[in-house]
Amino acid sequence: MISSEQSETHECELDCNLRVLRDLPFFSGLPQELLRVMAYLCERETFAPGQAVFEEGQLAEGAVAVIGGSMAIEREGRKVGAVTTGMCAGGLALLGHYRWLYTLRAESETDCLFLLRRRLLPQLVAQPASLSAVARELVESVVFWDLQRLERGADGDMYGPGLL
Amino acid sequence: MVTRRTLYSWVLKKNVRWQLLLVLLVVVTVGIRVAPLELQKRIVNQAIGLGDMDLLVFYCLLFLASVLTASTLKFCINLLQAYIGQRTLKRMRTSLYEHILSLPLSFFRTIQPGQVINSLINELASISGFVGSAVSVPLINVCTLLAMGGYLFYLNPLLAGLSFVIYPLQIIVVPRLQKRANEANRHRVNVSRAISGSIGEVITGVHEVHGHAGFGLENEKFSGQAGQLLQANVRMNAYRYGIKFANNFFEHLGPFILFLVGGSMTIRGLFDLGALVAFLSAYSSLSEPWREMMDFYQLKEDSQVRYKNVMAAFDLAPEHRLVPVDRDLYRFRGEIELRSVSFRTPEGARLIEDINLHVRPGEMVALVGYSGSGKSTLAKVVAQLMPYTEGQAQLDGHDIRDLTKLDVAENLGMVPQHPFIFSGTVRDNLLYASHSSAVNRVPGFTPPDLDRVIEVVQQVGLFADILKFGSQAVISPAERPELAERFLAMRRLFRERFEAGFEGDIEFFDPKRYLDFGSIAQNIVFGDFTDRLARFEDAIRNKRFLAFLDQTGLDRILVDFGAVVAAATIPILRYAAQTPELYADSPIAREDMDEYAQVVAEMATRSETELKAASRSLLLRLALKFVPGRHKTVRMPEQLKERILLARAEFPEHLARSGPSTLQFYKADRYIESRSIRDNILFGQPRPGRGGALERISQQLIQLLIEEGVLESIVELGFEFQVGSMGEYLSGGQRQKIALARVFLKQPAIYVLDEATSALDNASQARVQNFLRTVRGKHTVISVVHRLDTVSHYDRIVVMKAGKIVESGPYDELMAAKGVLHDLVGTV
Repeated sequence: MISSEQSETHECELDCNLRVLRDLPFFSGLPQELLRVMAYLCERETFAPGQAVFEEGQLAEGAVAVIGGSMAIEREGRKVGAVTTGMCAGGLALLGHYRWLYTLRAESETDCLFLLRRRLLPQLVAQPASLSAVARELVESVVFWDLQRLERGADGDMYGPGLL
Repeated sequence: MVTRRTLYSWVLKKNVRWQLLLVLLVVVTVGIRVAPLELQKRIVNQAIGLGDMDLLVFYCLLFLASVLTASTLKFCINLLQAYIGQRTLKRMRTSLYEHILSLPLSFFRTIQPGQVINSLINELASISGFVGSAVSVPLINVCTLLAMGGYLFYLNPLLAGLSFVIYPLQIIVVPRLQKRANEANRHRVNVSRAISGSIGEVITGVHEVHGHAGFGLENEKFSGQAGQLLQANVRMNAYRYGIKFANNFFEHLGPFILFLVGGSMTIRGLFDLGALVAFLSAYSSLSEPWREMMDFYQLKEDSQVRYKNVMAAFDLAPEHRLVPVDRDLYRFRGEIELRSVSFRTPEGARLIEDINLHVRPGEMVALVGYSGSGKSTLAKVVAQLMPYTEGQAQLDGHDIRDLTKLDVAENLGMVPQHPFIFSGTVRDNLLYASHSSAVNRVPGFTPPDLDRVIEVVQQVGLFADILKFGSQAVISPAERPELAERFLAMRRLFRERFEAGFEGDIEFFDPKRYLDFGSIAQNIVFGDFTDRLARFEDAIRNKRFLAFLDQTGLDRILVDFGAVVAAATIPILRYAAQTPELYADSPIAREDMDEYAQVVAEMATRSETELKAASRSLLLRLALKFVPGRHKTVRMPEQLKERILLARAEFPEHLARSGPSTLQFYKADRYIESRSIRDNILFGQPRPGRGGALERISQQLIQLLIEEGVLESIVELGFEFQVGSMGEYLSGGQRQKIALARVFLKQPAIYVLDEATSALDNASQARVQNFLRTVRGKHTVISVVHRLDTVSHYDRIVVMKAGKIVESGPYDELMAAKGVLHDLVGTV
């Protein structure tokens, strides 16, 4: 779990961001120096309860990690899940363009860390080994997700990454 | 067609009056040019030879008068030539520009903007010199040559004959060299056009260059092309100077013969000295018109090459007439009929195939399908932007190919996914179509009034943006004192009502609190420069400010802090790939990176007190620019903030003691000149990083603006917002909203929207969809839609796949049939 608290021991925002990124699985294979650059390029934003962080159908411009608080995942106005402290949503948007499949809405006052594609991807592209490491992690998580879905017995009519 | 005109056709057309005046001046000038030669002979033979002082003075005065008259006339001739050249150039440019704008869109996909600019501005400019001199220069010089030649034969036929022997030689050699120079020039024009095209392309796509750090790549490409241009220029100049060399050589061969033959004749008493002087003088006078003729020949050849190259590049017929001739403008009901329509690229690829579609007036049709299924191509065919290659497409029974551009523009409004925004104000962009209708004198056209513009702006969800632009405008309280007073009154009201509620969203200006989203310099000063262009970073060069820092002891503390910031920031900036995003929130600008890296290296070997003065100065500047709420590499110590607050309290007194300044302190009862209207009302600034803060603030501000009756002034200021070059200050959503409003204001019979709302947020999308529902039955709508959750209310959904229509019908029917639309909705 990651912590939102910026410690009283003069920890700067960069170090705090770094702690958050270290705990994200798809950044686990990155060298420390690059991770520090990534932490430097992240943006923070605080959302009031009820406020939409992203809306369904909106262009996904990057991933969002929850530093503190929680966000509801809504699909067509109905809550279908939650993203809480330490979790991340939209990791695939770091690599490519798509639209959000759901709305993320703050349930309490929520601190978020935004990992925007336009800021982070050029850094990864400049280091192909790091880009591969991130892609590897993302592929593994998608395959894992697909496996879970299949094991749950998903609707045969539905397309899914593993079936394509 | 303008591209088929010859270069000489421009010389006389609409210039006859001026060219005749020029000819008159030339004839008079040539006559006067012979007079000094005869006077020279008389001065030597009669006045000096006979020792007649009075005659000498008389002839000298006559000589002066004739030289003065000839010079004045020459000045007038030059002026007239330049005028004729420039007015012809203007006509040439405007005719060609008009022609270029009428060319098919496919042409613009094959040519770079830079090439067009280079042709219109540079290549044509050099032709103007030729046009201005095309009549006068040959005339004046041929006449002068004949007059001088005649005079030479009058003086001595033998010598005259000898001196003219050289010219035929020159006439043989020079044109051969000129032919090669022309080839070299043609090559140079092509290379120059290619390099202009490349520059234009890079400037247009500079975002991509920055995004991929393609500086090195582009520099390499440019360097290669610049090398080619260098070679082409050197080659062309070699031939040009070769021609000059040949001309010079032949020119000096003449005196050689004259001195030898004429001198021996004079020694032998066959020719008097005065006549020899006059002969030599007349001969030397031949060289100038001859040289001018040679230069004119070069200019003519050069201009012909340029002209032919320029015109050949645009020698293409427009696909459609621009305006109807011999008939009124069509007014459509909005019926669209496509029968077996296909579009094939020149390479043979079929983008759409055998499309049969009938759209009733007032019907709302959504075009959906996978990427590359031909939806946009079909929309463009309907909008006459792509010429269909097979079948027949009609608007209200008229073949689209036969319609003029004005017919289509007045009856159909197209909004592309990436609309173009012109430089200028929001208003200019919104009213572009209206201005165009006014210029085209469209019958029955009435420009939309302000209420109508506001109504449409609200329909597309742009009103909040307009208010934002308006509230971010900077006004001069001296020029608009009443408005500034109103905003000051609103500042008090805003504080009374919202201060507590907006504590988290707004950083209010409070003399006792540190501004986390202001620089240290701004925090010390607690004010702004009245000069809007002045920057706090420049405070480092202000002696009074530096004296204050020294006096309070802050300079040493800030140098230490600057060192901490530099040491924490430089390693990150050095390790990272160099992108503009990297420096967006950096206290160190890209251009200063190397300097600070050196300072950090110096810090590793010396203590901070031993650093060079320049390094200390850089660290002080870095500290003064530091914004704790924005720069993340260092956490600013609370003690330093407190120290700065103490200094802030002393600063006004220090400044007052040391003389007048352009600083304006933040005071609750004073309008801040350099700040926006919004910041003035808030008496503070919105805190970045607060999701939705701007919207919350904006809502309350709008309420207040309405209550205080100044909403209209803000809207007016918003309409005057300068959007930057090609709309660079607008977001993708704002650009789409402006493009939609621009077309909705036109109220055409047919709307063609090509993913026109793709960049809009959900609320704005919903507004536009609502608007389209309101025009159902009155206007035909064809909309290429990517988001399938917005299509259920369309009358008909047309589903495309691989360039063909595979399904068509109401949404519910198609979904119930579980066909392609059903699959699309399931997967998207």
